[in-house]
Amino acid sequence: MSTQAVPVARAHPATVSERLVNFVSRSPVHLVLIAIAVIWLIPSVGLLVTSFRNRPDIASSGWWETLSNFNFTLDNYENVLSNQNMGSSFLNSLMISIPATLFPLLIGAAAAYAFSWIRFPFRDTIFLGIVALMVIPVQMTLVPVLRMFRDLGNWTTGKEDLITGSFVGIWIAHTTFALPFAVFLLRNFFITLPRDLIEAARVDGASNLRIFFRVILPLSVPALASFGIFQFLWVWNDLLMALVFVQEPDDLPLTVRISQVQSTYGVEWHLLSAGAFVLMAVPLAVFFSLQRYFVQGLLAGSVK
Amino acid sequence: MPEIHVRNIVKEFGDQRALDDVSFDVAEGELFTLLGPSGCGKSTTLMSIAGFQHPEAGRIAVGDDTFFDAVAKIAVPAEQRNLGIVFQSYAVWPHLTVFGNLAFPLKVRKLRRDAIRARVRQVLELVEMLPYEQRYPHQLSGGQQQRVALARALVYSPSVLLLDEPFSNLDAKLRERARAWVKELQGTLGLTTIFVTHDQDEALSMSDRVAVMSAGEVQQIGTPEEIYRRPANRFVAEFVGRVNLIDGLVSGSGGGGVVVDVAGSSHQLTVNDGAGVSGSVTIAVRPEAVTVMRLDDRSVDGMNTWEAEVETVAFLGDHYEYDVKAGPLALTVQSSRRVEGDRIRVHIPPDACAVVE
Repeated sequence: MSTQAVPVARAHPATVSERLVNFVSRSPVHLVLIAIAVIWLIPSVGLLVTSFRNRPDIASSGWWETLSNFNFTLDNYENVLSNQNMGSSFLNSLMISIPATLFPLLIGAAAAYAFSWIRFPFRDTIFLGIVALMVIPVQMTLVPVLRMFRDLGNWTTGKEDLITGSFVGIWIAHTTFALPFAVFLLRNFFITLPRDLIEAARVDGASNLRIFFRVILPLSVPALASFGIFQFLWVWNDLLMALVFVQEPDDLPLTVRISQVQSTYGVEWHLLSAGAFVLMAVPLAVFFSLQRYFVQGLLAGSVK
Repeated sequence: MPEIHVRNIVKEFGDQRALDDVSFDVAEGELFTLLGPSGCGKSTTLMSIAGFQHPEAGRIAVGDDTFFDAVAKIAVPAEQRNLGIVFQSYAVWPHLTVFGNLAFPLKVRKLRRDAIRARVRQVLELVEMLPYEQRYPHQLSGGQQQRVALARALVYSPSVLLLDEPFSNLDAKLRERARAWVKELQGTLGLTTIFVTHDQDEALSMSDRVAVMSAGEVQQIGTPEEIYRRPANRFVAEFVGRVNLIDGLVSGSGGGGVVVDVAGSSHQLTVNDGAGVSGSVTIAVRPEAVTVMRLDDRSVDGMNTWEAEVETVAFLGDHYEYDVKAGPLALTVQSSRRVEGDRIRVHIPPDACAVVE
């Protein structure tokens, strides 16, 4: 792929004084950037430190005092993962997030291919309609969709919780809400692929399905990855839709479970902070492992 | 290898007529070139044959297969036409190795794995790219990518080969070698080929026959010699090679040609072409067809021989280029001879004159 970063050729400073001048001239910008980064990081660092302190310490002193009074413990994490059902919720979160990322990715990409490379009547009108769907707020649709799920369950098997009693409901909900953006982002990326590459495949006798899987998808990894990251983080961090569409207590994801910790026992800071870091671990891992695609993908379709 | 028939193709983009009644036939095994400036419709013609453009009217057939017929409402999809195309950009897939690129069309055709391997190797050998089998396109030079593109177009033994300006991304030296090489390969395989280019040198040196196009219409179809020596109209004369255009009035005829009074001067030009035309005409004369000689040189005399004033002389390595004026008539002359003097004599052989209008 031709999107590799090209190192900017910069003449190496020859003398010590030249290096010094370079450093001084750049340092104001660096200092400001460092300051902003530190300010942004303080709450997270505080939360991290808190998650390693025991309950009485948290109640009696601020987290910054650990610097003088070093007393760390892993009890909070042990407690959260074993006693608070966080372990199973963690798995539930994965069970929800992974399919709810893959479904819109695949369906959205297939739709985007049709909107960019197959001619059919009213193509652009339909595309505009789908893009327009992005403006509909999730909150407005929660109740009608929930009723639809219930009616569908009643109507097919007589069981009200057929859909909401399993992961299926939340998968469908997340997938449908993600699709307009997925179609929009991916279509705008696909349309920038050189026409010749697709026509060459067609001349070679390839069907649309084959062109999609063998040419379009491999060439669009940056865009697919960036949408995948967006969607995964969104679903992983989602509380609202999980509250509404996951009604089986054993299926609750981490976000819901952590919010329950907070309300059942008052504010349990030691558990809350540890739970928050368990929740953050996966998005961080995802982001850092895929960040090079992420940066490429954000530019997807904008400059080419 | 089948022949290609293109009949009365009309293609419109909005209210713009991109192709206006384009017709031609390509014989079996022939290398046929569509030549013209950009926007003349040559690529649209090629893409109509390939199946990426659907004309409003006309008929396209390869051998006994009708690919397109506006009246009978036939339009075979591109993927079912079994054509080989080399695109201007090569369109080699960047995410596949050379082998992967060539294997793709064979996998589409559901060949067995070992058959694919054998066929890919065979074609790579043909284009002399076997050592690069496992390379990715970005590890290849432009010329090598072009060979891969050609190999991919040949790998499934297409019925017809379409080349869309395949050399325009190569540097001048490489282009010349690629031309010779493609021409030789095409001849060896006996592939019926349509070649699109805006480069007249390429068209003249490679083609069996050329169709010169302009503004969506075919201006002239002929062998390279016919196109160059007997251009059908002013456009062809000016587009293919350099030319002197001489306006005049027919004053007499005979011997399979005409005598023309050159406009604005007392010169008379005898032309061995255009028997039967009358009225005002334009005569095309190639610069290298004109002879220059010293004022006192009387080896050629009589008709079409005039005195002329030398305005500039330029040395261009293999020839000299003269800008001369014979009375009001400005002529460009190319000659390997250096003729000294401000005043010289020029001679236009009657055989070198073509009536273009």
